[in-house]
Amino acid sequence: MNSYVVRRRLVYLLVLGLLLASTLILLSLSNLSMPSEVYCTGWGLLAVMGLLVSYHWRKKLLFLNFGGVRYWLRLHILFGLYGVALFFIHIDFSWPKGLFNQLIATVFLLEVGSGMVGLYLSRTMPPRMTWLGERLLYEKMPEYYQQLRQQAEDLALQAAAEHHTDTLVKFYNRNLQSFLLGAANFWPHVFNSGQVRSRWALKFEGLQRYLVEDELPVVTELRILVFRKIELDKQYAIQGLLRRWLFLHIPLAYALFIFVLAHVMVIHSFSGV
Amino acid sequence: MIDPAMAEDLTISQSHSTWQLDATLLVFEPFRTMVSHHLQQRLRKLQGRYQRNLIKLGRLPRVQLPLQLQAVTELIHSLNSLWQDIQLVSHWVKNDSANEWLAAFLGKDTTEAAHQLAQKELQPLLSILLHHATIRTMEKTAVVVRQSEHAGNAYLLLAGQACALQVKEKALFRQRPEQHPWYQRLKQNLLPSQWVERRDTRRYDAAQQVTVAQGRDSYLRIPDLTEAHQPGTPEPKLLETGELFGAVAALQHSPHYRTIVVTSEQAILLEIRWQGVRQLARFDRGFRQFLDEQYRRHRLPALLQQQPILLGLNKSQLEHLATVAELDSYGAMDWKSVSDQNSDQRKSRIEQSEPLIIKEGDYANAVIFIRAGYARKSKAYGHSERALDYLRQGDSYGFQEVLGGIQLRSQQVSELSEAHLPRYSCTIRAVGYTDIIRIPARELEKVLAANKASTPPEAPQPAALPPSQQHELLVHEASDLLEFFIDQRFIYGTQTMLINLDRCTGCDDCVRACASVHDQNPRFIRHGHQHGGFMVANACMQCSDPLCLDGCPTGAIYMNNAGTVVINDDICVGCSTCADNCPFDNIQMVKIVDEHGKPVHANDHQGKLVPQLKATKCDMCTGQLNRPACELACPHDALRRVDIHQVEKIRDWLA
Repeated sequence: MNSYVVRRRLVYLLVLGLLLASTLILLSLSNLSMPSEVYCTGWGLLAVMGLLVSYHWRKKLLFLNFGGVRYWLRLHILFGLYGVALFFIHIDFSWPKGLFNQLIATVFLLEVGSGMVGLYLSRTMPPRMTWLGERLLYEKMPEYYQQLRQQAEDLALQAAAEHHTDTLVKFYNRNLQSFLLGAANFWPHVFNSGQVRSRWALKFEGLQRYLVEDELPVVTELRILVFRKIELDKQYAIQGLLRRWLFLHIPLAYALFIFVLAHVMVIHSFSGV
Repeated sequence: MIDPAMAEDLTISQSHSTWQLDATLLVFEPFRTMVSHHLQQRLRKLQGRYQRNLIKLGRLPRVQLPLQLQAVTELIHSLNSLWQDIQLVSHWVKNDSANEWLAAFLGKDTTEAAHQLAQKELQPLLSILLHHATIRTMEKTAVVVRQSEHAGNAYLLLAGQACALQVKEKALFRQRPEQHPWYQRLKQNLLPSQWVERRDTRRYDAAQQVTVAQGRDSYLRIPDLTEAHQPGTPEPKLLETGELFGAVAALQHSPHYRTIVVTSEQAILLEIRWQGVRQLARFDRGFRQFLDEQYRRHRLPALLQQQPILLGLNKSQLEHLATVAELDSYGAMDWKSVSDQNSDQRKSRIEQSEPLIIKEGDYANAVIFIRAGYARKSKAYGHSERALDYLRQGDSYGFQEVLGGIQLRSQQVSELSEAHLPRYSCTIRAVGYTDIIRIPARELEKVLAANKASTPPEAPQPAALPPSQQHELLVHEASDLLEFFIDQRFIYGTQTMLINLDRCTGCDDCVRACASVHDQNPRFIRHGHQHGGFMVANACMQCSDPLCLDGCPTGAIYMNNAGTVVINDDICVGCSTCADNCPFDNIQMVKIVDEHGKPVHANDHQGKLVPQLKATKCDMCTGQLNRPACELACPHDALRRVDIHQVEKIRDWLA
């Protein structure tokens, strides 16, 4: 991590600390009663949530001269963390009572959690992908799978025709065909497990004893294809994960926003504040 | 100028026959002079050899070879085809009955040998013309070249008339892209069109009035020259048959000063690509000298004036430097990138493909300026060379070293030993092709000595390194990056799209942003050359010396004032010349649809209906309020448009 990034993170922490400190000082100085304090933090929280949702719209309305999205993401993270603190102040550090409030709290925490996971993934996964070789386009991966499968099938059939044995074809049918059909082993690759590679290495070693010597070069080529497929699976898994977490984060954000609006209406109608 | 009698006989066929083309060419200067010069040079060599042979045999040559071609007028009479040219040259040689030396030297039938000789000597010229020249016919009001357009071609007016003038930008369809009102942009963002590459075809109506679409032979017209003439600029200058224009600009790939429009009912022009102009200059020293002279007179003083190290020199001093400057060219015109990084092979590759301009450690006897192309600046490192920087048009090298020498002499050191001689600290090699200006140190010293007011920069102090060397040390760590950029020729770019792979999550926000402002079709591919932790995406780099501009028949692709290469969709005829020229494949031809999503068609050469193609490329979101949408949209700061010259900034960003 270079010094610029360290400095930037320290500045964020400082700003976050200042925001929290000023919130707490304001609340203590205003000497509000408990319901009024909850009322204030609630509106503050709603404003912060509005700001967080605006990040999504900033990405859509790029023609507006409001600065680069990268600055908005930094604000999004900063205010996300501030929102978490504000949320706990709002609920007075105790689990809310009432089913609806519990639902809102659960959705809020899920939203925060998914955001944290997303942040972690977007910071840790790209460097991992860099060392997997050429960065492939996610949309083109089915095409690469198809090419690999075709190559493997041709190899197996060619070996069978040349050496008049069906061992490799059987091996292909039993093991490789389904494996090469498409992406596989999503979670092992997400967690960077080396199991898949070791398992296939063992399978190929086991196969060799049933083959004549002339067939061994074909096995080597098949092994290369399988290892390439594993690399492809890794890219597919990581790129897929980096896209999928948003399918949780964004719908939850809108759900939460709707729940919170309903919550505000209910409070205003029945609390008497 | 063409002989009037000859002009009547001269028929220029549209069949584009090379033989006829060459026959036509020989009627005109400078080609006639070129052939004449070349033959003379060759004959001089032959004569020299002949004389040496005779002397060896103890005899003196009896006949002096006539060194001036006397038969040029005779030549013109029989020029209707190439064979006639060759026959004429051989006829000239044959008629020289006293030409014993030739007979003695060739030792066989003189006519046949002379014929072969002439053919052989003309072959390079023919080859150049065959590959790089074409005859174009244009009607009245056709625009031949456009002002401030990077010159890709030179033109020889074979028949007809033209005039050179400065016209309003509007006449060339170079209006600034209109800024859409905010509500339209909002609609564009929120309710994107369901059709990809949809165009408002009504826009093309105005363009069709002034565009003659014939594929690569298309051109733009300016129907009313009086109205188009830019007020306050010089009066139009008439160009007559036989005039050659645009050659100096084409050689340098620099912008044309004026627009040239056909004024006769029809004009026939010989269009020579810049590669052809360069080869012609190599083929014939006379032509080269002619171009150099033009360059010295019109462009060089202005270029020298812009040099920071020559600030303060007066006009006459600059003109003096322009007179004494030596002009040189290095390298090949067509380059091919090689990605082999093996050090041994790399060394031999660099030595083979990148000709040496200056060698590290040589006596610093001149300052060089790059007038066209690029050069690698490197230092010896291990068994090879390590790039420290690169030079581009307008950059200079050697001033510090030369200045060191001047100051050493001014200190009147009692004993100047070999070790005191100023030496170049780096090696300079041509990358692709490179044209340089070399100003001898002694001339520079004279001028600087005469001009006390323009005190040269402080001499390098022994304790501190000169700024250039400090810079070298700084970029030393970024050398690997530089090597990659130079090897792959990404140094041409001024707005190269770099993606930091350690940050890029592949969210495609950049692609979507690009598509949202470009007819739902992104103007780049998020894929490309990968090197370590970054990738150079397939996006137009806005080259400083753009090859894509060469040969656009209507001038639809041009470089705007901000240095961005943009395509005017209205007058693009879909000939794909620009896409073919781009060495990085960053221009795509697309099929367009009208407002209702129906494919737009156009007639081809045979009158058949074919889908209308349009060239598309990254235009840095010209016409939008903000910076390039791709860079703006990246949430992780993983995508930036960078000038490769700022390699330290790139290194810091990638770190």
